[in-house]
Amino acid sequence: MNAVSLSWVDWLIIVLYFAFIIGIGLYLRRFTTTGQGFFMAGRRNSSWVAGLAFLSANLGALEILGWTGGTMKYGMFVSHFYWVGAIPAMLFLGLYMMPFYYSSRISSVPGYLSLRFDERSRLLNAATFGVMTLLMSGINLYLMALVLRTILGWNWHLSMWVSALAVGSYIALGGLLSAIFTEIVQFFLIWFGLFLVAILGATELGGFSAVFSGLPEEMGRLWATTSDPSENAMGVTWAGIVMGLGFVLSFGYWTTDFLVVQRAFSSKDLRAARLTPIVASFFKMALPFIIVVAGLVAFRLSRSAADFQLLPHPITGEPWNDTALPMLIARYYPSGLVGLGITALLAGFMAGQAGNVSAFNTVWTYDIYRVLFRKDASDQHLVAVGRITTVAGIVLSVGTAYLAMRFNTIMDYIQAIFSWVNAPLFATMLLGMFWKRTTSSGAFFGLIAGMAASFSIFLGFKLGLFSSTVSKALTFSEAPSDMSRNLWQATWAWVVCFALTVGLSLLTKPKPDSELLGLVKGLTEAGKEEKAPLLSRPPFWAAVSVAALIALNVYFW
Amino acid sequence: MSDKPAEPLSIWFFVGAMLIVYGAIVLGSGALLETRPTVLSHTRPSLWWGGVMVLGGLPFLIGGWRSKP
Repeated sequence: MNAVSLSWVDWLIIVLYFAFIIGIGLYLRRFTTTGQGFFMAGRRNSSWVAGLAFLSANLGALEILGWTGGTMKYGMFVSHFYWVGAIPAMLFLGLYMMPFYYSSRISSVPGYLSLRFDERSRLLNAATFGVMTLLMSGINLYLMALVLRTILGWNWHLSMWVSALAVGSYIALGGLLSAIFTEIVQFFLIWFGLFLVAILGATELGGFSAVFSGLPEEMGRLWATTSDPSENAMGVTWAGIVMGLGFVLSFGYWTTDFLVVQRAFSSKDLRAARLTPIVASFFKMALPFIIVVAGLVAFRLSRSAADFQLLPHPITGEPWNDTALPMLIARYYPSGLVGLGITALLAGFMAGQAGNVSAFNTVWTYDIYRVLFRKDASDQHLVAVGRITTVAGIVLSVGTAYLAMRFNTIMDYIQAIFSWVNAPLFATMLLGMFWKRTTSSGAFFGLIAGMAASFSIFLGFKLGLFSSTVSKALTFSEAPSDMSRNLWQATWAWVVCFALTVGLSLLTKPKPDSELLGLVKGLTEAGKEEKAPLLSRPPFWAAVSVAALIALNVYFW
Repeated sequence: MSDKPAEPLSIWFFVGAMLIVYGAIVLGSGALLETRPTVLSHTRPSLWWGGVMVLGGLPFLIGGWRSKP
């Protein structure tokens, strides 16, 4: 028997959503006939549109289901991924890095590496990013199939293929513009479709304060239990959170991952591009009020309510944390709302999938295909390649979806992938943008070394190759959790890349200043925000965001 | 004939339309359909949440119809 059965009205809502997104793709096709239209959404978006898309590209089903389940394991610590593990990096991107990205009129992050360094770094980053997006895309697909199978009992394989084809259709038709439109629609669906779970859950437990008051000490605080890793559910110290998550992983993801940065590139001008991640930061801060609250409600119910149970994992047979949110929907939502809740999860999947595919088709077309195969390709030819790549990316991501089945707590795995690719890249970008002495060879070999370090540490832990002494030296913990290992693995990858890039740069010849104009601090014209009204200035809104971040951390200390 | 390229409708229009249509369906299902029993179903969440969606969608629909993307 399925966890919940659908009435005709639920089906109506779901079918309407599919018709809606395919319709958007068909409608927008006429506006995306050029390369700039297809890959950059015409560069005409306001900071609100780009900001919500920036956030939504990160807010896939992966994020929602994974972290609701993660909250059952780590408690309030999951909020770190939304607050200290996101906001400072988003603000840094908007205030300090976006001028270099946007002013150079590049189409992708690897494109910046090409201008700043050379084609080696560009191809290395494009290839690793392509693999990473396909893996992420596959995990999104896997979670999609999980939702359909868990709640509706649909066939696992059929649901993956059907949903993948829907996403492939509207991205192939409308490109990034189509992705951005559906991402914003998804943002509102997430709030209106899932926030009610948190409201009803809190109501059942006796109010929002009751949700937090009944938690074990190791799960209920943000910072108070981080001096000793054995005192908190994540098994990590404050230094691991600040350095591994707050600095390396967070900055690595939010400032260099083309999936999200691409949305800012679609802004109409530099000020809108700088405001894009700053606008997104406010909504990012609010997400724990859906995801963490729902996870805590599920945690409390799993201990106190006999009629609330997670579904077993199909491989291990153990209670599967990632089914927490679907089980809460089944518990609280009557007909009609069930359709809305499922559609919100579907939309979360669709947007996450679309984000990966639209970023993949851009990087493949501009940074691999055009560089290696057709340097003189026309605009029309590149758009055609982009549409074909979309379909190919979808097919490949279905294949990677089956890999994701092997892991129980999905987000741990995601953090590992990020630390292989994004953490060392952040060191390369930081040095490239803020130290003009950084050389092409230093960047390339530093990047390779950082990625190799991250992967070696990952393998060392997974295969049990490290003695307890080495393990403690790497993680500063006697018994580090997977999450703690990932955080420190990212940190070491960043350190290795940073140190080697600096060392090699000092030994090799830098580019002349004339080749670095607009790409490096000190050689780039500042924006004209200082002449704008206070309420239009990115630094003002960044300051407001920082104040809100501090207030939340103090309140839940 | 103008050479100015056509622009798509504002995204906010689509957001508003979606919220109103979905809100109306949810509200209607809460008012008219007899559904399976759920925890807290006595609070009639479909009714008031559907209403919130319709009201929330109206400003987007009107504003989006008048504005550019």
